[in-house]
Amino acid sequence: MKALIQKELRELVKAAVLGLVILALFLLQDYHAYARAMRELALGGAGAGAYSPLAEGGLLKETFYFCAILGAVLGWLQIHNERRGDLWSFLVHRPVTRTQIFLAKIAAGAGLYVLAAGAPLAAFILWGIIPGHIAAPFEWAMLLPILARFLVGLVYYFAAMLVGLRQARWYASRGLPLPTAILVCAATNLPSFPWMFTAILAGIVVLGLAAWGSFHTNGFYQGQPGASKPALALALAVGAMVVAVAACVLAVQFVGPGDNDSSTSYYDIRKDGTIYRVTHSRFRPAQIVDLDGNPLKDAKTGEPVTPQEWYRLHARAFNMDVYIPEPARARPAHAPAPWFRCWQATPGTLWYFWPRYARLVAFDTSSRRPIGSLGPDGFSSGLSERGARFDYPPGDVPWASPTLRAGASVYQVQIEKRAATLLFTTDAGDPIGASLDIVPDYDWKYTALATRKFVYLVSSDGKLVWKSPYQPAYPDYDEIRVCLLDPPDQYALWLSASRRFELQSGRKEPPQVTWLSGARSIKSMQLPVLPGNPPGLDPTGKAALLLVPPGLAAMMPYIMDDPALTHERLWPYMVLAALLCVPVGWWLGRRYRFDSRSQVGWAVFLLLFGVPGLLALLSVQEWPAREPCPNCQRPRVVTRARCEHCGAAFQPRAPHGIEIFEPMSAPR
Amino acid sequence: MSDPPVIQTRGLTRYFGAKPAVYELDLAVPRGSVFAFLGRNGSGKTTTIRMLLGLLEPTRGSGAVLGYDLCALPPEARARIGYLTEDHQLYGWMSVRQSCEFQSQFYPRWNGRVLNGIIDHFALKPEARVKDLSRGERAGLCLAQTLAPGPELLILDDPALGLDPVARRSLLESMLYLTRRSARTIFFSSHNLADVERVADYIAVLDRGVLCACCTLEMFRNSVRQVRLRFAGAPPPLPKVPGLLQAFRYEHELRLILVRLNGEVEQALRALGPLEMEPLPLPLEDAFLSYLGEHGERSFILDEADRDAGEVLKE
Repeated sequence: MKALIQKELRELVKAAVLGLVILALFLLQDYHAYARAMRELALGGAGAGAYSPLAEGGLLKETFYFCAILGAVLGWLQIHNERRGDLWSFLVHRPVTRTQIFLAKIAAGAGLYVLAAGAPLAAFILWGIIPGHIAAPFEWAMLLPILARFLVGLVYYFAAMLVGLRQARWYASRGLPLPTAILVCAATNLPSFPWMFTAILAGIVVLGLAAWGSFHTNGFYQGQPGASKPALALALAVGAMVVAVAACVLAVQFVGPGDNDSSTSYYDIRKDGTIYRVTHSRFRPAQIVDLDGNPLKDAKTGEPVTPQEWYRLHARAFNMDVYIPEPARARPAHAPAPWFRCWQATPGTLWYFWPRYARLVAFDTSSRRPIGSLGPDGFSSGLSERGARFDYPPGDVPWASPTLRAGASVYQVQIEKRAATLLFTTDAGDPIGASLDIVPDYDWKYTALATRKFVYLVSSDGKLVWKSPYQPAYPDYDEIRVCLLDPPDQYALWLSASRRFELQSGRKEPPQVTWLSGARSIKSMQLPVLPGNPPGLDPTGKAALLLVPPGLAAMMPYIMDDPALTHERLWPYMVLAALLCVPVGWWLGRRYRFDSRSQVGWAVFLLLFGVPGLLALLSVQEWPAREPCPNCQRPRVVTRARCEHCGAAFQPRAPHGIEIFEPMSAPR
Repeated sequence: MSDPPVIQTRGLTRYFGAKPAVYELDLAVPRGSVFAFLGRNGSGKTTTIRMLLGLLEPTRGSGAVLGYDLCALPPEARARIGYLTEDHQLYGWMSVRQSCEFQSQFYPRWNGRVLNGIIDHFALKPEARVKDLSRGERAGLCLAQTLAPGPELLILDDPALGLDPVARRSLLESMLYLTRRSARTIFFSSHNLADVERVADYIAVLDRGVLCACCTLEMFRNSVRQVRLRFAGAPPPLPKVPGLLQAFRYEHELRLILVRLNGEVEQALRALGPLEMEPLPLPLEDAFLSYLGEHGERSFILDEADRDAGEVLKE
């Protein structure tokens, strides 16, 4: 075992060292970029250094791609080195078990991967977490996305190993573990850490088991240990699903029906409060018509108004999504949320909104350490989770804006003065679910607020401009648009249905508009539903979804944390697709004489995995030849000692008369 | 009671796609023998060896090596089997010393004297890289590493392939010297018939995956015979002769190479009315070539044009 590990280390060390150097150079560049940004900040730059290199998307991308490539290269090399010539026979003839040889390879390959990718990352992280290096918030959970991307390398490591090992019947099917790895690694974008790590670890275990089994049998499926057979089938089914869905989408894109008539329509409002429908088509000029279908014409020329002119005529609109946390819909606290958001840079200080404290936290740019925080109760030095907090759940971090909300109140934030002053409080302490600062032309004029009961518009000096009932539209209409009309005290309030509500109802829901003049509501109406596809998947998406295993589709709402992904209407088709695959698999099993355990096992597998499962079955099995039985003349599989139809044994070839045989005995 | 065979197979068969590479192979290799496994390229020798070593799963059939099922050879069985791969595969980046150290760590009964003896015989420098060794040197190193663990059974896949005569002779000498003394069994495939004649006790001949001979070398030598028939004029057409491998037709004679020249065959040949029928000596190599080569009749009669031109051959 020790000799094998040493051999593997020696063979891989060059690739690992090269990888280590490349990653170290990338990270060094990140380090220099941050140091330069901080220097610029010290010279009066506008917040260029207001980020944490540890939470930066760039670092995550570098880590992801680097780890994936390094893992794949190491895994591939470990098999490829011995597949050339017949070194493989030399290796596996060592008087140790195959599992020991495999484990020696893993110990060396994975060990070098951990060193090559882990050492530079660990050094970089260590630099980042030591206080005084990064003038930005830090939480240990911020390291989880980096860890997930680091583990991605092991998924690719086993996938590449499996690609190198498999003796595939269809040449292309040898590469199927790679799409599996790609899909598994897409889990790094999942909205919750538990699912993210579950998917990645499951990928490592499944691909690792499949590689182990294939190592046992020199890459063949037959003869693999019990646990590795389902793992290999699963790995290939997932890869087949990715390839099939991609092929389906591409086929529809390139050879599907033309999309000549595609057009998109939306409602917009003119400064005088008139609503128009704007339609953009691919091959026709944009059309702007009123609700009766009459085109909007230029008053002087009588010609239809162009989109450029319309941009001058339409009212300024400001959108916000209402999200009032309720126990049933609460966003999980373990979500990979934005950890913080840069708020503002003042001389010598960087301000961040930090959801962990739900306060604005100040960092000194010289010492790069926190110097205090600002909450509804004002500025306090130091950080404490017990201080008064603004109202933002994790994952819902506000952008830098003049106000922040807490409970039923809105506070005006004055960073330069390190103060937060009460601007407005809703009636009867009704908690605010959404707020939006309306800042036309860089001049803060209003703040719109939404509670469960009302939508408020508050001026920048804290006076109520109007309030409009939000019931019964809440919570199904969660998109609010406030339009500023002419003359200046005229407004329009739009409420649009949430995607979730439209998916549940299965149809498009009409937008609701209320016109207000000063504090008074003038008119309300529901706009006609615009033509277009019903909510949900388009035909390409539906076709692709039929290729998704029913078992995986059933888990999607939980994995993606989106109940709207249940696709109830497509379930019959998905199940039908799977049910059709079962008899095909059963027939293949009968034709090639699977034993009863395999026959039932594959039937269950096909029921769960549908079309991709069938593709996996076709690519994983080494289908034996069939030749006519000399006795009954019916085709029989060559793997069995006796004909499955008549029971006749295989006969030696007919003698030619030149055979020389002698009973064997020990040499004289 | 005689020892059970070191290698025994029953109906061992391997298909690649719809083509059988090895078909219904029944083989028994006696303990202590030097067993040559012969056949033309693609006849299934390497496939058989790979199945014997558990490197390739048989399509059907079974077998045992040293009493172990060949589909599940445990490490203790592998420790007792020395295997020399085709092309003498070793890790090229290792030095001779590293390669030997690597190999020695797997075998508790590693015999350094045997190793050094062969390495000295081939004059290998310990610091030389394996990839820089000549074919002969690499073969010697492979052989040294295969013999040093003291295997009971040596399976050699064409060990002399690509070696020059000197290296081949050295390899054979080393192999024989070290194995004959300890009554080891050697199972080797080869294309070199002179080597086979020199070392083998038994031979097995594979033709397109089917075993067509399995006997002692002596029996093979006695079974394949050459006979010359002289005629007054042109030899008559040849009837169907049982066991005929090759027939060479000349102007006044027929030379036949046959398997089992028995009374029945002799009677059939005398019926052709030859002036004389005499057995001719047949070197073993020629016997092998006839046995393994294309069977049938060839004519070596010169026509007028060829005679004038001094050309001799017409098939």
